[in-house]
Amino acid sequence: MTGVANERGHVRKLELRIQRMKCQLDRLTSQLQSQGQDVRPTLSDGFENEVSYPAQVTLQESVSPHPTPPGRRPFDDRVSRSGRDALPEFRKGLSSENYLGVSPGNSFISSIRGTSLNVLGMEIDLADNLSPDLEEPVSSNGAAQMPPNKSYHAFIQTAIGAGPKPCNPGLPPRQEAFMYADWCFKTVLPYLPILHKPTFFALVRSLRNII
Amino acid sequence: MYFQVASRNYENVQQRHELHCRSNSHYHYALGFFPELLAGRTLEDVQALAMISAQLRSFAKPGACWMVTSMALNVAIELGLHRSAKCWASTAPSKSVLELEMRKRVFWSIFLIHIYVSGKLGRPMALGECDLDVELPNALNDEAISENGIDSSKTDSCGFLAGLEAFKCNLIFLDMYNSIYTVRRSPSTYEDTLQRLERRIDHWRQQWPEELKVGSSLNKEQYRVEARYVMIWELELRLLLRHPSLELTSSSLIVEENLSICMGVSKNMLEHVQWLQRHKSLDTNWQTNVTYVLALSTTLYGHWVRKERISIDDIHILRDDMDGWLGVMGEVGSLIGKSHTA
Repeated sequence: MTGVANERGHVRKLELRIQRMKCQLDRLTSQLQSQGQDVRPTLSDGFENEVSYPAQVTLQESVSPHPTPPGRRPFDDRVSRSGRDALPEFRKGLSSENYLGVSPGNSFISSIRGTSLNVLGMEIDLADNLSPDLEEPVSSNGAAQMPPNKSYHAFIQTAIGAGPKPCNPGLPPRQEAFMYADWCFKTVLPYLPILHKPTFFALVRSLRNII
Repeated sequence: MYFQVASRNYENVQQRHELHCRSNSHYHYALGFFPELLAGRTLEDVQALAMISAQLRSFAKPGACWMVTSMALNVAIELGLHRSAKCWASTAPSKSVLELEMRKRVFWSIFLIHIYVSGKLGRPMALGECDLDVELPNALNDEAISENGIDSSKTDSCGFLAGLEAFKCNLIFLDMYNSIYTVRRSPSTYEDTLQRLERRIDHWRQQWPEELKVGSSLNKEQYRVEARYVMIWELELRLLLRHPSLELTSSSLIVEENLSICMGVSKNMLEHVQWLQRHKSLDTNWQTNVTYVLALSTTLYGHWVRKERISIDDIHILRDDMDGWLGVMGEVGSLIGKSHTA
């Protein structure tokens, strides 16, 4: 509280002015970077707890954070700057698999984008042509009943109880049960030690006693 | 229900249709308890959610994996599994050694899956390193821990040494995804970040137990496969750190160095993956599959960039490497039951 009297709306004007200056700073930084200059991050102004909001720039004003290194092979002329920075096309029916991270700076090779990547103009997507066991519903009607497979919709259907209650498939025979449990502790649980072996096998033995 | 959840994991090892259907039946039956598990709020409920996350992680497509792992992690956070037991007030009910160890193991397991899946899908990380202070689990054999404490007379080796190294490696992946692969990354910090992360990787590698070092005399049968996976995780980290798609530096020296390192790492990864293939130990979930494709494509890209100086020997080596990778991907395809379209 400074005790200084200001006109009405003074603080709001200051906020707007700061916002405009930040946008201008971002534009100038990007212009320098596009010319191959290395620009250090803005030094802290001492307000350690200042909340930084995203710059209020629209998509067409955004510029690439990736400088074109001098002497590098120029990018394909067909790929515009905004196209190079764009995320892969958002697939409405496959929201669980859409890649939402950083865009590749190089148009000839990308890093991992979910199940796909791009190399030398080829898009390789491991999710193409998988078995029907993983398929999502074909129709746009999200309420379509899914068979109990490994798809996202089937998961939602069962997990929230929207579909028929899954029937109990029953426990496998004793020998098979111990065999499967043993496999689990040898192949999966060395990497994800979620279960305690003596406790788990005691549980299995008690289950066999009940059945 | 734990057994149901656990048993379906192994049925996936077999690829016959009947077993797939049985596996799906068990999976969906266990999933039917999802609302009770979310509402239960006990460590056992979180264990079950973790097992479901582990099951979904193993599918050939992301599906609901990220969503389930995020929910499991949220419940774990609600129970305070991300916090050290030492932080609780001395008046809180004391927990047994077994419960304390299981809390750590369950948290780190869920966190491992979450980071790995989120990173591949470009999703934000739920926690930063500064948000958790729970210790890593102790490297003890399961038989040595019980409600009554630790039995030091049980000297068998820890059954999850690879898991422990995965937890440590996971923090480096987290650091990388929150710096080099974060949406608002800055090119000006890339070189410093690269050096810092590579120091972390070197330090992590130096402290690997002898049992998990390929070629070590202590690398016994039970650890041979795990040792290969630990190597592949290290190679994956190095590949992602310096991948040519990043273009976060204007230094042509670093660009050239990055490409050389990535090509070397990819070739090294192929050797380990082929070893796993020969020993029928390939992990066929989508995260590892796409990593193999990344290594394969990086090799191709590297030779394409350097095509003006490629020799006949290089072409032969490239052809062998591609044949090797295609062999691996072919086997992966057959294991995950890829459909054949007309």
